[in-house]
Amino acid sequence: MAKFQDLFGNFLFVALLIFAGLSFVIVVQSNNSAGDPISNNDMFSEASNNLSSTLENLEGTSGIQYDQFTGEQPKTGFGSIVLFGIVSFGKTFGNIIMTTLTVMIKLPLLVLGIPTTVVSVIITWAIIAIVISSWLLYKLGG
Amino acid sequence: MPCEGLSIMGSSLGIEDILVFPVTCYYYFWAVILVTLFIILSYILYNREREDQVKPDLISILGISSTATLFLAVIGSLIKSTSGIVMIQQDILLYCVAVWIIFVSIWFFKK
Repeated sequence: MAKFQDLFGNFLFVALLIFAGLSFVIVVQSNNSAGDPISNNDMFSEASNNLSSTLENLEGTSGIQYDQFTGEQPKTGFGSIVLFGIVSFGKTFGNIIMTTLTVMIKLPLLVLGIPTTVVSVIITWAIIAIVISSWLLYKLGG
Repeated sequence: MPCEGLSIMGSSLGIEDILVFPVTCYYYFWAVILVTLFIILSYILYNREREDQVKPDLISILGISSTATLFLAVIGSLIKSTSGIVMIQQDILLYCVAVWIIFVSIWFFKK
């Protein structure tokens, strides 16, 4: 199973790539005054706006988690140092991965009419990957 | 459905009018062309990769082909006739975007 930072990095990279693709389509069409711009489509604009707001909120969330982590007083455990901030870190960024995945798959799901069975398999895989990666992060620190 | 004829495209026919003309007969004309191009491009890339590698990466090939098809679809959506009909309609471009998202996501998650 992938490390937490690798999993998170992969999700963010794909989200950025998709955001770049959607922005490319919007910008090219608006600069060339397309006859039937795709930004008029409700599904497309909603997906684009949701992805944009998810990525924009990342900086604030990361800052909060960083402050929480650096402000914590480490406790000495049995042969280790205990930092509870990493649990909050894992939970928060695990939620961000799920949110990003939901936003990314929503557009293909609606447009292509993918069956809910396929989506539930993808979501299950994502949940298992997040839980195991988070557990590795808590246990080994990444 | 029979074609309505070139007369509906305006008196002075340009290259845009000729490109848009098949859409008036068959709505999915350019969509079929795009799917065909996608398949041909994937097939060519697959065969080229098979010469270099023992086991070609099919998902990356489909990702690259879908990106190329999306670019073509975006270019096609900019072309419109004098009567205002677009070569690649909004819903077909939306299909291209959705397929592109699926292939690119699988490609990068697989890495």
